Amino acid sequence: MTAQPNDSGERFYGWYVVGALFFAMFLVVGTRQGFGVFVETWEEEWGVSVGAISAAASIGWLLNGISQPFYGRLADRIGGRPVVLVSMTVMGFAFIAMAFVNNVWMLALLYGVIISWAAGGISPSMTGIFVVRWFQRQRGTAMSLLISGGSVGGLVLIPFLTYLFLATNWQTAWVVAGVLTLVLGVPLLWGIVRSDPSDMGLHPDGDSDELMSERAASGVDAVPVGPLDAARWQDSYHSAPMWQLSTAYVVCGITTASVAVHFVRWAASEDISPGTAALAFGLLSGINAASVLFVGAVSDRMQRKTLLGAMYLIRALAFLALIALPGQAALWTFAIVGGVSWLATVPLTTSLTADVYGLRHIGMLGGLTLMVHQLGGALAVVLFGFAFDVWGSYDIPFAVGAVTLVGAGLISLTIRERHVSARYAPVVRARPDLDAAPAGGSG
Amino acid sequence: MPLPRSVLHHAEAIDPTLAAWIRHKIDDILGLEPVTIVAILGVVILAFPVWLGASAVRQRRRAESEAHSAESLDVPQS
Repeated sequence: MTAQPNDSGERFYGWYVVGALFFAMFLVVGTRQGFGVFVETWEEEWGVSVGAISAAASIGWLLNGISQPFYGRLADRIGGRPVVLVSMTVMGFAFIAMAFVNNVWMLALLYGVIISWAAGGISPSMTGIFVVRWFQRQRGTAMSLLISGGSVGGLVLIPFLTYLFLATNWQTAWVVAGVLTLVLGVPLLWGIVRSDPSDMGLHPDGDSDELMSERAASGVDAVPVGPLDAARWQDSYHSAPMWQLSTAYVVCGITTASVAVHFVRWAASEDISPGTAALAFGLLSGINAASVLFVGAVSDRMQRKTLLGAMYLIRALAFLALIALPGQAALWTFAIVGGVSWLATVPLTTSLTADVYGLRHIGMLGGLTLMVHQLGGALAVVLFGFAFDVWGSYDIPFAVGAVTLVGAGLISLTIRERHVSARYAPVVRARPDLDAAPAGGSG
Repeated sequence: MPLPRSVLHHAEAIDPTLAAWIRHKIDDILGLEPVTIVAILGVVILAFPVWLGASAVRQRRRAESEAHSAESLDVPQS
C-alpha cells in the first residue's frame, strides 16, 4: 500500500477502503479463477465433456457482463456499500453451495448464473466507484492498487485451492473459499467501507475543511464535478469521450478474451507445447501485475489518455509479433509486450470516465463500458474460433486484432483530456444543485 | 465454447494447463506436503484482513478520541 500519512500523521481513511476492497477482489477473483483447477475432476466425476462445463462458464461470462449496468445504476441510487455487501454475502453462500453440485446443470445454475451475477457486484467497475469518490489526485494509483487485488488473488488463492483440493477434496476447497468470504471478506467490508468520504465527515484525498472552504470561496466546486457531468446518464452519450472510451474498451475485450482463450490452440498450431504456452501466459500475467501498478501511479502525473493510447498501441505490437515472428519468438515477445498492457487499461478507463463525467452516474457509465467490453470479448472468442476453422490459421484474426488495437490507440489519443477532464479544467461555477445531486447514499 | 480453458482477463477461470504447471513447479521447488502449503498460504490469507481491520479500528478510535478532546476544549469556561 502506498498510503501516505496526512498532516496529523494518520493515513487517509480512503486507503483502508481501498484495502478492504482489494481483499474483496482478492477473494472473488481468486476463487472464480480457481474454477479452472476443478474442470478435469468434474469431467471425470460427472462423465461430462469439457465443452459442457465450458458452457456453464460461458453463461457466467455473459451474465457477469450484463449485470454491470444493473449494479452500477443501483450503486448510483443507493450507494455502493449495500451493493458490495449483498454481493459478497451471496458469493460466500454460493461458494459453499458449490460443494453440493453433482451435475453440470447445477453447475450452470450456481456458477453460471448465481455466482457470476453476484460477482458483478465486486467487479472492477463497481469497486472503482468507491475509489473515484474517495480519491481525486491519486485516483489512478488507488485504482491500480484495487485492480491488483484480483491479480494477487489469482497468485495466492489458486495454489491455495489447488493444494487444499489435493489435501482433501474439491468440495472442501469450495467450502473453505465460502467461509473465508463470509468470515473475513464480509466483516471487513462491513466495518471499513463507506460509499462516500462524506459519510465519515471526510473529504476526498483527505483534504482539510479549510482547503475545501477555500476552494468553494474561489468558485471552484469543493467536490469537483466532471466538466461533462450530465443530469441523465443517457446524455453522456451525446459527447465524444464516452464513445471514444467505450469503443476502445470493446477492442480491449476483443483482444484479451480472444487471445486468452485461443492462446494454447495457437501455440499448438505453431508446434509449441501447451505447457510452454501456459508458462508464457503465466509470465504475461506476472508482468501485467507489475505494469498495472506502475501505469496507475504514473497516470496521476500525466494525461491518462496518453497512457491509455500507448497501452493499446503496445498491445497492437504484441499482436503483430504473433503474425510476423516465428513460433517461440512470437510466444515470448507476445508474453512480455502484451503483459505490459493487459489489465492496465482498466484503471485508466475508469479513472478517465470519472475525471470527465464526474461521480453522479459513474456506476452506470462504468457498468456500461465494462458490459460492452465483456460482450465484445465473448463475440470475439467465437469469431476467432470460426476464423481458425475456416483458414486453419490465426494470422487473419490476429491481423484484425492489431488493426483494431491501432484504431483504439488513436481513438484514445484523440480524447481532448485537457478540455474535458476535471484534473485540467476544474468546473468554476455556482452549483446550488450540487448538494441535491445523489452522492452515493449514506452508506 | 472453450471459455474456461484460459480466460485470464479480469475474473475468469484459469487455464487448467497453467494451473497444473504452477502446481508442478511449486512441488519441484518447495517439495512440501499439500497440507503444509495450505497452512502457509492460509496464514498469508488471514494476515492481511486481520492487520487491515486492526489498523482501521485503531485509527477510528484515535480520531474519535481526538474529536472528543477537541469538544472538551471548546466548552466555555464559566
